Amino acid sequence: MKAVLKDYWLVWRMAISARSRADVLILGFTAFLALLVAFLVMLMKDDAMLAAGAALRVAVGGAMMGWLLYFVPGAVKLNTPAVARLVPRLRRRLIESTVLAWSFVIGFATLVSLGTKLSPALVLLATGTWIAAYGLGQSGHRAGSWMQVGFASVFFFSRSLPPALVDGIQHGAGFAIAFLLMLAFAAYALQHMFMNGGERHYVAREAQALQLERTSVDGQFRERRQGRFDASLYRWVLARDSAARDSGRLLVHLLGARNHWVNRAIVLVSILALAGVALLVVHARAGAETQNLIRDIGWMFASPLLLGAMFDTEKRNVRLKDTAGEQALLRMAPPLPAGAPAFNRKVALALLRTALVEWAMLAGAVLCVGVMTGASSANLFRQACLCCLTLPLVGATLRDHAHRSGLLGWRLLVGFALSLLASFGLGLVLERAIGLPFTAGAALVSIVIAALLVAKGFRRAETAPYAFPAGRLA
Amino acid sequence: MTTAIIQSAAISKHFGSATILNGLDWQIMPGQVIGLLGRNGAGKSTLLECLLGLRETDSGAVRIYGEDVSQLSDATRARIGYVPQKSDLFEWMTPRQMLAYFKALYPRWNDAKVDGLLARWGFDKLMQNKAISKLSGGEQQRLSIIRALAHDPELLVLDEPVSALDPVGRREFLRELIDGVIERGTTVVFSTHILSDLERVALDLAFLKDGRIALQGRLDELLEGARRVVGPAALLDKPLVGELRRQRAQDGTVSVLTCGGVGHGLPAGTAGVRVEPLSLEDLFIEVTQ
Repeated sequence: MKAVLKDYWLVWRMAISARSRADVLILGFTAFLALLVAFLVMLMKDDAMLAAGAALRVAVGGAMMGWLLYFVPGAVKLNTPAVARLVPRLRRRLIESTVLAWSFVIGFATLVSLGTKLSPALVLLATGTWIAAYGLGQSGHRAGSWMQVGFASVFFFSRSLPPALVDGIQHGAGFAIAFLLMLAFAAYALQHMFMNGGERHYVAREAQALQLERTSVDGQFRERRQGRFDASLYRWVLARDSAARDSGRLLVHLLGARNHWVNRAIVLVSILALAGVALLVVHARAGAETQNLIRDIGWMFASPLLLGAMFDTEKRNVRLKDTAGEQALLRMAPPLPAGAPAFNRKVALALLRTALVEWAMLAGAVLCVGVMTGASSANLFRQACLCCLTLPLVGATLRDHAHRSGLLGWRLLVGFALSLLASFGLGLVLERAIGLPFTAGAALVSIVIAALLVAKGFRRAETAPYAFPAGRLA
Repeated sequence: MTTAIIQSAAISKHFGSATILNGLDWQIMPGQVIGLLGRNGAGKSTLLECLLGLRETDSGAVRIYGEDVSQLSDATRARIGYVPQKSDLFEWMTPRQMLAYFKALYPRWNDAKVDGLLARWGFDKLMQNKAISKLSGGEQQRLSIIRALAHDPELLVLDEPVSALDPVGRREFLRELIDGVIERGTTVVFSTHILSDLERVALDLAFLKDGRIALQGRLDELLEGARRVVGPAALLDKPLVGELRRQRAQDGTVSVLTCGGVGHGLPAGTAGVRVEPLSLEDLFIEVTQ
C-alpha cells in the first residue's frame, strides 16, 4: 500500500513538474482564496463552523483546479508512445490516479450540491461528462474541445431544454442510462488520453503536443498550420510583397503566416458573417421587444472584440522572440538600413503599421456589428470612442527588442489599466471644464496617450542597440 | 599587401560571468578557406555571430571589407552569405516562397544556380511547395545553404553547415563548396565537428580554446609538424621548440605536444623518448582539451 501511495505521489510530482512552480501556484492560490473566503464569511456571518466549511470547499475546489490545469496536461505529456510501451507501470498509475481524482471531483461536486436548488443527479452527470470532455480535449482530440463549447451552450440555454428530458435523466432508468453513457464516454476519453503506444499513439502525439503547447501562455501565439484558404491567401500576399521588393512590407512576414494581418482579416470577416446570420435569424423570429433590446444594447456585445488588441500586442512580442534566427538573416540583407538607429526606425515603423492596421480592422469590425444591430448614431459614436480607448496598446509594440523580448504579461495589463484610468479621469475633467461628452474626452485622451507612447517608442529606437535578433541582450 | 577581409582586434564577449571570447585577434585573408574548430560550448557560433555583427562584443573591434561591422553598407552585406546553425528558419513558408522572399532582398540573385542546386539536391516540385517545417533536418540545412549561395557571396560564413546531413549529403555539399565556391576565389569560414570533411576542404584550420585562437595554420603544415613527444621527465624537463602543451602522467612520463618544431630541440635518437605523428583528431583533442 505504501509503495502504491509512493507511486501516486511520484506520478503527481512528475506530471505537475511539466509546468514550473505549479505546486507553489496551486498551494498559494488555494490557501489565499480559502483564507479570504473564511475571513469574509466570518465578517458577514460571525460563524466559525460556516467559515471553516466554506474554506474547506474552496480549498478542495482549488486543488481540483490544480489537478485539471496542471496534472491532466502533464500526465498526457508524460505518457509518450515509448513510455506507454516500455514503462507500463507508469501508464497504469497515471490512469489510476486520473480515475481516482475524477471520481473524487464528481463525488465532491455532488455532495456540495446536496441541500441546494441544484439537482445532485444532474451535477454528477454534468461534472463527470465535462471533466471527461476536458481530458479528451487536453489530449488533442477535437471532439473534447467542441464538447466543452457545447456544454457551455447547454448551460446557457438550459431553460430552453425540454423539461421532460431534464426530468427524465434525473431519475430511475433515465439516470442509469445517462450514467452508463457518461462512464463509457469517460472510458473512451481515458483511453485517448493514455494511449498504449504504437502507430496510433505516434500519430495522435502531434495533436497532443500542439494542445499541450496551447496550455502555456507563450504557446498560444506560436505559429501553427494554416487552413487551405488562409494558406492560399497568404501565398498571394507574400508573392505580391516579394514582387514589390519593399523591405518594410517584407519585414512584417517575420511574424509568420498565421499572424499576418491578412489572417486577422479572415477571422474578423468570419465573425461578422456569423453575427450577420445570427442577427437575421433574430430579426425573422424574435418579437418587437427583443429587437428593440438588440437595437439599444446589442452594440455593447461587440466591445469584447476590442480586447483582441491586447492579444495582438502579445502575439507580436512572442513571434519576435521566436524568430531570432530569421531576424539574423534579415540583419544581413542589403536593403535594410545600416546603423542601429535607422534600422530600428525601419523595424518600429513596420511593426507600428501592422499594429495600426490590426487595430483599425478590430475597430472596424466592432463598428460593423454596431451598424448591423441597428444602433443609433449616438451609440455608434460611443462605440467609436470605446475603440479609441484601446489605441494606446499599439504603442506597446515599440520596445527595445534587443534587451526585452517575449510576453509583456502583467506589465501590459497594468499599463493598459493606467491608460484607461487616465483617460476616464481626464475625460471627466474635460466634461466638467469644457462640456465635452465624457466618452469623447476619454477617447481624445487615449489618442494623446497613444501618440506620446509612439513618440517615446521611436525615441527609444534611436538609442537602442540593433533590434534584431530580438532578445539577444536580455 | 593584401588587406584582410575580416579583421577582429581584441574582441571579448561574456555571458554573465562566463567568458566566451577573451581578447581574440583574428584575421581572414581573401580567398582563405578556414575551418574553425573547438569543443562544444567553446564559442564558435558566438565568434561567427560577433564577426558578422549579429552580436555586440563587450570590447574590441571587428571590420569586414574595411567597414565597421555595426555599420555595414548595403554593398558589403550583399557580398556576404551566412548559414546559421539553426536551419528550420521561415518554416511557415515553402522553399520556393522563402527563396523568392530572399531574392526580393538581394540586388543580385543567381536563378540558374538556385535551380541547379535544387535539382541536384533532390528538391523536386512537390518538395519545393511543401512547408519548410515539414522538411527533414537535412533538407532544411541544404535549403539554408542554397539560400546562402544564391547571391554568389564573396565571403561565406557557415556555422556547422553539415551537422544534419548524411554522408551523401555532406559529400554533395563539399563538392559544391569546392567546385562552385572555393574555386571562384570565395573566402569561406566554417565551423564544424566533422574532421574528415575539413581534411577534404579546409586549407587552413583555427582552433578556438578559452576564448582565443589557440592554434592556426595551414592544414598540411599543421599535420606535418604536429608531434607528440613522450619520455621520462628528466629528458623532457626543458621547453621544446614549438611546444603547445605539456602533460605529466602518473608514472612520471611527460607528454609534450609540439607543432612546427623541426627536431623539437632534442638530440636525434634520444633514448627513451618517443616521437609520434598526430592525426587531425589527435590534434583536435590535444589542442582543445
